[in-house]
Amino acid sequence: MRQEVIQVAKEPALIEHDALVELAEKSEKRIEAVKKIIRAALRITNHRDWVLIGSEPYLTASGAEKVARLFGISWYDMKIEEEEREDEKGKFFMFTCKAKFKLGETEIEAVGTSSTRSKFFGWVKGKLRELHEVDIPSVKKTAMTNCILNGVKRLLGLRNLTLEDLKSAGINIEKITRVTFKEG
Amino acid sequence: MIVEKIQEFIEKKKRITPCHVNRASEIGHPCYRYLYFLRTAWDQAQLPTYKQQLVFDEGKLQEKAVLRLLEDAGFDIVATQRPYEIKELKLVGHIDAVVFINKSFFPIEIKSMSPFFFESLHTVKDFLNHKYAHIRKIPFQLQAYLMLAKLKEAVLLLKNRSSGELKEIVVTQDEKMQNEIRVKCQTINDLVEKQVAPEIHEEFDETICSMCRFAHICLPDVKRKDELKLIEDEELIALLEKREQLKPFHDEYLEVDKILSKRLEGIEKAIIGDFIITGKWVKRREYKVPETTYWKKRILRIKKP
Repeated sequence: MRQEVIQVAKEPALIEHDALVELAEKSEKRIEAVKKIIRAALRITNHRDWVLIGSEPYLTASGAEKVARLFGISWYDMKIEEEEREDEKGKFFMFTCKAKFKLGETEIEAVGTSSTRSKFFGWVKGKLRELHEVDIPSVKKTAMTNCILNGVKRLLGLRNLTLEDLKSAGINIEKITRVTFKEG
Repeated sequence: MIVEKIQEFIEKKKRITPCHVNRASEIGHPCYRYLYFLRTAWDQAQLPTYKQQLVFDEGKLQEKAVLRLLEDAGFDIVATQRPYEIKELKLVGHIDAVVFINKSFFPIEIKSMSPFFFESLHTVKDFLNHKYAHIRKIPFQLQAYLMLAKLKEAVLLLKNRSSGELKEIVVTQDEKMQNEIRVKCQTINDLVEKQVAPEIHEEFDETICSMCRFAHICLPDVKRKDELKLIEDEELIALLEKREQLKPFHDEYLEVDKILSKRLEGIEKAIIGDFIITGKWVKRREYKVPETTYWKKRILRIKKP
């Protein structure tokens, strides 16, 4: 019995190879472009636009605004929902801000939340503040700034940044304000 | 230890006051929506931050110090913080002081400021053309005081917070600005009565909206058309790199040339080392630079080499 000879088509493989190279080049270019975007975003911020919580750097609202201005990020349809909740410690409010963010053709929806129970607004010297003592408008505004922060960071991929990233962008990390929350 | 306790005290001082009328100190604000929310949603305004509260308190302290200085200098202060009102406009204001000088009464508004602002403000026009809205609204406050006190002239007394220096700017009655105030008050009063908030501005003003204490109520759309472009132009990249390489030499050249210009001033002819130096006084002709527009560029390197 004669063995069937199977002709190996070389042409398609070559095309596939080219396509792979092109894809690799494209993705390399894309990675390089993303890196450039992150570096550019960091470059226009300074130590005042960051805070350190633990050893993690966090972009502040002012920093996010600066970055949004540089990249021309738009946002619209912003809405803040207020939710009254209650537990054994009493009533509290939860604010959820949603908006659509746009950069070029890319559009995403981002969410920001804040609560009257947050460490910053709801607690003093390890004790929960009475609801009437909480600066509720500021809690609401924080939901809004958190939403802007999340939208800008997600659009540009500015997440999980390290102090080393900031340092290499020329930010004086020694001058960054450290945020601590007192437990008692 | 000390600062912490003071911070706690300052935090407790932060408060907002009810507002059912148009305030002279705010009437120059460019946003009708802000002025509307001041009347209708004052209880939802964001409280000042710790730093803002410190600035307010510092302003009050400086105001007291200036008033004391005026008294010590022999000025006849006839009233301080006296409230005034124009009922039909629902316009109110508390004038810092009214001083009796040369048989006339002058309302005085005291503003203490950073050296940067102090050095840049000399005339009412400087205030009106200023980059920041909180500076642009000051002349309107003074015009409102003139309307309230039914006077023709007021004095804006500026204090440099760093050096203690004082500067006075005489503000005279301006019919156009006062009419603007009247229209603004009437418009806001009508809208408040109808409970209709003014439309949101089409253009988001970065210097006003992002700092606004009603931003969480107003929720404006932020439409930016100037998207950042990623340009991959090898020639442009090479030119930018070259510019970056040459920049330190250019800066050094300018610095050295400046020193040489100073040192060689007045030397008409000389040989210095391997150089022949000549010089003469040249009369610079006066000419007017015609108004044009030009493209202002700023180049910032993303990554240090």
